[in-house]
Amino acid sequence: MPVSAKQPRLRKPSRRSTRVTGRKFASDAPMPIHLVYRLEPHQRIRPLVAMMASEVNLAHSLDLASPFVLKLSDLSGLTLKADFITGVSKRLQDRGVAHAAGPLPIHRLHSTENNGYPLRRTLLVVFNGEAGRITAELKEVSDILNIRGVGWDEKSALNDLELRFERLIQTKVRIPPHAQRVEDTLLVSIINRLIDWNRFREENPLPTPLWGKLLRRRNGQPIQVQWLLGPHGKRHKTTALPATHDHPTFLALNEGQWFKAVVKEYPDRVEWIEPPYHVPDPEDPQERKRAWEAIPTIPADQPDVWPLREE
Amino acid sequence: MPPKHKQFKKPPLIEVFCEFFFETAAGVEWDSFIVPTFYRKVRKDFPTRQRMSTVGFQLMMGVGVPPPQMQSVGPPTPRHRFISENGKTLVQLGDNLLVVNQLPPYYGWERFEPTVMQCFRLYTQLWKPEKVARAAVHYIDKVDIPSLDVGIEEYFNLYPTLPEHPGTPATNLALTYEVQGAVAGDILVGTMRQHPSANPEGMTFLFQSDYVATGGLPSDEKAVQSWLNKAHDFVFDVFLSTFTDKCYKLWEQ
Repeated sequence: MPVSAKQPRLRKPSRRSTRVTGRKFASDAPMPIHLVYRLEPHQRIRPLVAMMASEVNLAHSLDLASPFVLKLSDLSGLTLKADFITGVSKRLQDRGVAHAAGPLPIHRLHSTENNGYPLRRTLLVVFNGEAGRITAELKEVSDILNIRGVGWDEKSALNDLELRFERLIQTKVRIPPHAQRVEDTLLVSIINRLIDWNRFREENPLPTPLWGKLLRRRNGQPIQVQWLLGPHGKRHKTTALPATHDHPTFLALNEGQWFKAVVKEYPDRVEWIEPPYHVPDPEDPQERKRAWEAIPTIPADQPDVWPLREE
Repeated sequence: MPPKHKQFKKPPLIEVFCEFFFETAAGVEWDSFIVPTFYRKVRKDFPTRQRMSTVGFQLMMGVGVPPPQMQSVGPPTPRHRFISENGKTLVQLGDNLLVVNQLPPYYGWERFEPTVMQCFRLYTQLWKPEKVARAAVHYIDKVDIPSLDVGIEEYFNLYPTLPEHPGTPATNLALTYEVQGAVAGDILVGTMRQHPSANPEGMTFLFQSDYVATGGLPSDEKAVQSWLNKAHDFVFDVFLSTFTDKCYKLWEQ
């Protein structure tokens, strides 16, 4: 075949810009997934495999992800072939077996007074050594937060960082608006961006009352309840009692009886502060009057006792 | 590109460490009773000592293997750690394993290499290994970009070219590669991984360079020193060519 003298030259493909962002596109995994896997979907191999791979492509997915496995314990709990583990082990050996203090990905900051502060994103805590101690920092914002943890080892340094972080929350963030200072605005906004407050509220619910009337109880069927104040904020509705809210003391109640209880409602369970107990009908005006009158009254008839009337 | 021995105001280094996996003569086991002698000799420079516990964990093997059991698997891990007075330099020992780590501030290879060689010399004098089965130089850097959306080529020369998609930036980049090192049998494993940043208006990237002598080395001091320097130079050249001038400026601010 004759070759044309004017054959077009192959053009070198132009290099496109690779735009990268620090934003998060994936939505958070639902709470039960989080409870099981503890992590964002893309952070480690376990959730990656669990959420994205079928049995057919499991080996392929594992192989693709294996260069990013940070330690063998990341694979704990997975059913794996011995040669795969050997391969990962060799890769890990290439990456170094003895970091002095490698950066540690964290997903939550632990607390002494609640279930901890879940983070919106996985953050890296960077450790460093100092004379007789180890320091832990969220390096990117340490100038603004002005905190770093100090300890004998990585664990105690991280614990100290968490304590200091919690103190910031207690003294700068979870305070009344009038007490917040203008110079802390940046710090507060950073903390609010780091912590997933919605999840925090789910994980640290406040005690809430349940007030309802047991309507019907049939063998093998859920109890029907007419709620005055029901689960997850339901008001004036009739529903079946959710399985999470069942309690043995419901057996002691008769159909048509009113009950009250106080619970902390987690997404997957309920913690009973006051188990259900029989109460008078709150819709009966006589009962309401009696309950109202049972509240102790303190007359404001003393000088300097609120409410004072202006003369 | 900055000069070779430039010290940045805010260097990205998180850690540099050298590892030596030794091989003893056939039938000879690693003698842990020599550890106190090693410590006595390095005590002046590394006064603090720590004993580290090894941990086992459960791995479920696939079909055709015994049922799951608690076992310690994977590469050898250090058991003893000796730390310098300022806490920045560490020497770690394990079964046929010597590691020397340096945490920031890192005052350059010229100051780190003699420490590594001093420990290597002492180890070989005391344990008399037959050869170095594997040796490695590792550098870990963390780069914080104070911007939420960038063309990555502005800061790094290491990045993937992604398929065209309608104007949306990518996130959670992770990239790893292997290239042959300065000597046959040596490899450099480069890893870049994007991490969420604690700075809501920023991005964080971890870079790790692992230069490994996969074929092993003789336990001869001069050969190891020569290899170490070649390994370091190779990794350093890769480091310099991985980042752009704009990135270097970040470390000067």
